[in-house]
Parts: sequence; C-alpha cells; structure tokens
Amino acid sequence: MNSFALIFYFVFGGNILITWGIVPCRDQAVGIRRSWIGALSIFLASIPASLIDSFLYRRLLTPLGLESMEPLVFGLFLFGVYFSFSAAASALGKPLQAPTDEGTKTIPWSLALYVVALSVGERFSSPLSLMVAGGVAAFGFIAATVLLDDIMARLDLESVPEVFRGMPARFISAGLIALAFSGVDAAFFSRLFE
Amino acid sequence: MINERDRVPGVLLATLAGLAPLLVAADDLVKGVSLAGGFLVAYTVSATLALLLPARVPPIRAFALAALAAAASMTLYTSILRIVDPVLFELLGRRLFIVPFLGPVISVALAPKNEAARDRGWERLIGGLGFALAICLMGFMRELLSSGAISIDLAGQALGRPILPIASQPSGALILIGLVSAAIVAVSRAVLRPSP
Repeated sequence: MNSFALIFYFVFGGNILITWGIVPCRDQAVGIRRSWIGALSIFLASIPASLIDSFLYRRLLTPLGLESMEPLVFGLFLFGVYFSFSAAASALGKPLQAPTDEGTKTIPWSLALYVVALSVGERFSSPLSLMVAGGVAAFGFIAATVLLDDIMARLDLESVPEVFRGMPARFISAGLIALAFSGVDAAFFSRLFE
Repeated sequence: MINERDRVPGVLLATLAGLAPLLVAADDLVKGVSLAGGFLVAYTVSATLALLLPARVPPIRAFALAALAAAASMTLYTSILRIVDPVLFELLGRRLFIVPFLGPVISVALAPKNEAARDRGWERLIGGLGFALAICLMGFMRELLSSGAISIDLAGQALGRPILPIASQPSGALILIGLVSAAIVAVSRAVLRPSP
C-alpha cells in the first residue's frame, strides 16, 4: 500500500471511530470546547504506541504463544506510565489528579490510543508503516470526532424531535457518517486491496 | 439543575456509548454471546475487587488493582475461547482485548465513595448482567435483521431472507443504537413523568 492510500484508508475506509464504534460521549454539542492539546497529544502518542504495541504483540507474545496476554501487558504498561508520570509530577510539586467517576463515563483517551495501536497492528508490520499508520489513524479519529461535533452543533439549531436530541442523534449521525465512509471503502479501498 | 427525569436516561445513554465498541462488534448471536461473556467476566471481576478492597487502600492503587484484575481475567477468558473455538478467537480476539478498558468496566473499578455506596455495590453487579444481556440482544437483533434467521454456530448458514442487510455493518449498528437510545429516553420520560 502506498502512503497516500494508507492515509486515505485510515481517515475514511478504516476510520477507527466508525469501524470500532468508539463514539465520544458528550451530552451537549453547543458551546463545546475543543481540546486541541488533547488531540495533539493523542496524535503524537499514537505513533510510538502503535510501534510499541506491535513490538510487544509480534516479537514478545506471539513467539511464546501468549497473544491472549495482550490486555494485561497493555494494562501494566498503561499504569506503569501513569505511576511514572505521577511520581515525576509529585517530585515537581504538581501531583496528577486521580481519575474521577465522571471522567470514566466518557470514552477514555487511553482506549482510543489502544484501539489505534490494535487496528494498525492488524495490517502492518514494518516500523515505518506502523508509525505512519498510527499517526494517520489517530488523525482520522480526531477528524471524525470534530466532524461529529460540528454535525451535533448544527442539529441543535434544527427542530429535531425531543427524544432524539443529544446521544440518540449523535449515534445516528455517527451511523450516517459510517455509511458514507463504508461506501468509499467499498468503492475504492476494497478494490485497491484485491 | 439536572432532574431525575433527565438523569436516569443520561446515565443509561453514557453507558450505552461506553458499550458501543462491543455492540458494533456483535454482528451475530454467536459473537454477541462471546463478547457478552467476556464483558461479564471483566466487569464482575473489576466491580467485585473494587468493593472488596479495604477502604484504607489508596483510591488510585485500588483502581489500578481492579483494572489490572479485569485485564487478567480477560486474558484468561480469551485463552479459554482460543482453546474452545480458535476461529472465534481469530475473529474476536482483538475486540475482546479492549473490554477491560471500556467506560463501564473502568467506572466500576473505582472504589465506592462511601459506605452507603459500598452497601449498594450489588446493584453494580446486577447492572453488569443487564449490560451483558444487552450485548446478546444486539447480536440477536442484528443477525435477525441482516440475514432473516439465527444460526447457533459460526458454521451454520442462515437460510432466512435478509430484512435489512445494513444491520450487519458498523453503520447499521450505530443507527440501531441511536434508535434504541431514543426509545430509552422516551420510555424513561414516560415512566418518570411527574404526577399532576
């Protein structure tokens, strides 16, 4: 797969928000405050994450027949990173906040990062492809999230039936975006890979 | 201020959003049952450990222990699934790997805030059964709509007449979740309507 095909595939055909159902949950779209720092963080973090996840899965777990241990290894890695940052932040006098009940109800960023790494690892093996595909897949996720938020903001100005306002409309909008993306996938990418 | 009429469906819809990756992956009954089993194992282990750990354990450590226990239980579940049905493991393995990190599982890994919440911990476990049942039902509905029949194993060929083939696609799943969400909101509002 060439670079352009890879970029278009992960933004449209293989978009993780659509194919994995990772739909960010917000009750209200009006007045949304976009966290560009958060988006940039997930984009940058997804590049090494894809590489690390693929290395752990292909080089460490698969040769030993321990593929099933992937969630445990990811959990250990995640909490290892968290506690390392927490210790460093405490040493600098700015302790990290513990996760809250409200924070866990929405899609955790760590889940999106993990899904990016998993979806990329399914298709690529070379380090360069993994890093590029990881960054592009994260970009596709962020782009689809922004698109969905904009659709929701626009829908708030329309006379949508009361029971469809909020999350129901968000799911249906995500489904319609998915329909459009799967059309692109079927018409272009599926033939490209035949 | 959020009233009870809006809070109840709000919590249910947030949970539904957290479950969406499994609801999208459950495109037939067999996958639905397998994913529901994995979810139930991870959710129950996480919730039980969060309830049983003594209150003196720092909250972040209790959270980490419960979340890691859920990940370990998922490792065990996928290992058993791999032995029982290697094809199903290949189809679902990576979807099952994300179960311990889904919103509903992570939220029950947090230790209860006080003793009253700890006493109501059994409600969390019952909730897990309900969510697992929802995943199975989603698999059932999607297979019925997309193929017009239900097969009880992956090798079985559906002989029915397709009703709505899009139901087997992620887009169909998301639209179906949206319609179910709207139904939840409508029913909640009808049930919790203030009496005149």
